Amino acid sequence: MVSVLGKIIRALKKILRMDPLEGLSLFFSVILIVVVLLFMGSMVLYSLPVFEKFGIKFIVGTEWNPRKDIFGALPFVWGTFITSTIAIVFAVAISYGAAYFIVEIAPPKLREFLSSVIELIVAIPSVIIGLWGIFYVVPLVRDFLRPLFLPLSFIPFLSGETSGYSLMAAIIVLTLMITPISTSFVKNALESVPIELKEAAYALGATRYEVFKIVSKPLTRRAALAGIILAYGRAVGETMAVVMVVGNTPNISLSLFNPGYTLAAVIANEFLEATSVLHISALIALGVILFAWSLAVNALAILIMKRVRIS
Amino acid sequence: MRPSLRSLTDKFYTAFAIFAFLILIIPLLHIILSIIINGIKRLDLELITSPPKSLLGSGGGILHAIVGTAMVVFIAMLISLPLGFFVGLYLAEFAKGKFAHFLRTLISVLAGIPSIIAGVFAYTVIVVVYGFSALAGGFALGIIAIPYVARSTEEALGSVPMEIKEAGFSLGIERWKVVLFIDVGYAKSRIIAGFLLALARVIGETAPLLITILGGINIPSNIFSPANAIPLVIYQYALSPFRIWHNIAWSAALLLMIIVLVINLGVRYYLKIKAIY
Repeated sequence: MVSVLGKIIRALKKILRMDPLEGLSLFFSVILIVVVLLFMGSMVLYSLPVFEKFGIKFIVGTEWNPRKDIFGALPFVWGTFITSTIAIVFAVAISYGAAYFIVEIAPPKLREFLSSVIELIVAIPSVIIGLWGIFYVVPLVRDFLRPLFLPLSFIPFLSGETSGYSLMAAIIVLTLMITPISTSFVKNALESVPIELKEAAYALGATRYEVFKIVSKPLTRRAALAGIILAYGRAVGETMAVVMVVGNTPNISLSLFNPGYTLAAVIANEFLEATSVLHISALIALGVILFAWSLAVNALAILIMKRVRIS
Repeated sequence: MRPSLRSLTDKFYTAFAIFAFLILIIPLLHIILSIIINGIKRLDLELITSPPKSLLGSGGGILHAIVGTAMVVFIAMLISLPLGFFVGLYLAEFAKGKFAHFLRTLISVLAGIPSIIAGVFAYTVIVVVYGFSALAGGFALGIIAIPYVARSTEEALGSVPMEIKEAGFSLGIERWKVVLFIDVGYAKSRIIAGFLLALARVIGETAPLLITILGGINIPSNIFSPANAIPLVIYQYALSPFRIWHNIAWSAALLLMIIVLVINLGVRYYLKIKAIY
């Protein structure tokens, strides 16, 4: 008891003796922590009614019917999972190629310019990408990709008719949005490889690709991976571009040509129409799932980033 | 000499890299070009000076959304600038050990949260009290901007050379004066650049506004009334079945893109000039 009191008194003395600016900025930092706690607390609080009523069934339930007050989140979890996963696979393949092009093939004078073009693209608001998606990607899926993959429609992923508004359209739009992010990270990582190491490999007679494969790629794996995970996090939480092209239908289907729905998209769409307490609670609970998902993704990225040696 | 398998592999990867780069860059160029071509038609004075009109005419402008965006972004900056600035300053100048690590992690977490979630948060603390309003939207955008402001401020202050600080201390100036007048003074342009980039980041945010400010066609009279915003108008008009509204959506997109790119390019150009001297 006495020692606790002593500790408090010592802490108070420390605060009193503190530099005034340190005190002020510490005060703001504490406010930020309180805001974040309030953030998490209020979301959990509002989501409680639906978790109380449905329990684990809320997460694994496949039916979402606000009119009957039945709420199952699985269609949205599935839609978020399939779109973000396929998009990140495409993004990784493209960004390694594009980063290799910028760092190794493009003339050095152009390198700076190309990098800043790619970084500027990231700044374009997602609603603009969505607008473009409605008028160009949706027709592309309907009039070009569907006929193109018709011979392959025995594959479950490529079966069925399409209006264009589909998981496929969402994947294309997401890929375009996150590829510049991962490319930027992979490019920075590749640029950080010490020239001596590369020259040593060249001196042994390695080709440009072999230097990349044997020296640059293994050395930069962690740094690139952290960037890729961050890009994946963006794909998971992206709202506008997806809600505008994905078709907004809560079903769990394998075919990418079918419409789907994602966690972020359904929150954006149904929040204003939601009138029952349970419906609002269910939407906020979807937010909690999305929050936890992106938290896990970011934690992973931070952990990997910490161990990055070259950067 | 017959080309070896190794050099063929090399050539193949070069071809793949060029292909990948084109796959990345061509759609992006297409986005920019289509926004310019579709948007230039209605990027006129009426667009930015008049509120929406009936579909029979030209469809009017988006003045209500421009006022709404100005309001919402102003509120967001009012929240995020002091908070982000002082947290960044604390991290750069005072924070030590575990607490600093905790604070940085918290900022990373905040930066990684999907923007729609910030809207949900604003709903639970502002909308349920004051209703759908510019204030709720500004609050959500403010939350989104905080980590950007904090990080850029910390980086800017971290770039101040030790010699300059030491010069201040050696004169016997108190710590808070050294930080506030010497460090902040030195890093001023980079700190302001960080503010501007945060502004450019939130001005195009749509998702959190969708569930906090309600939209509508009225020019908001105060921060407690429902408002609309430029990105929200793009969304609403893009989903409408009317061609006149589609055109306005494209023009609003062009306007928004110009604002965002001008801020980004301006900051880059400005900082690069500064870096030489």
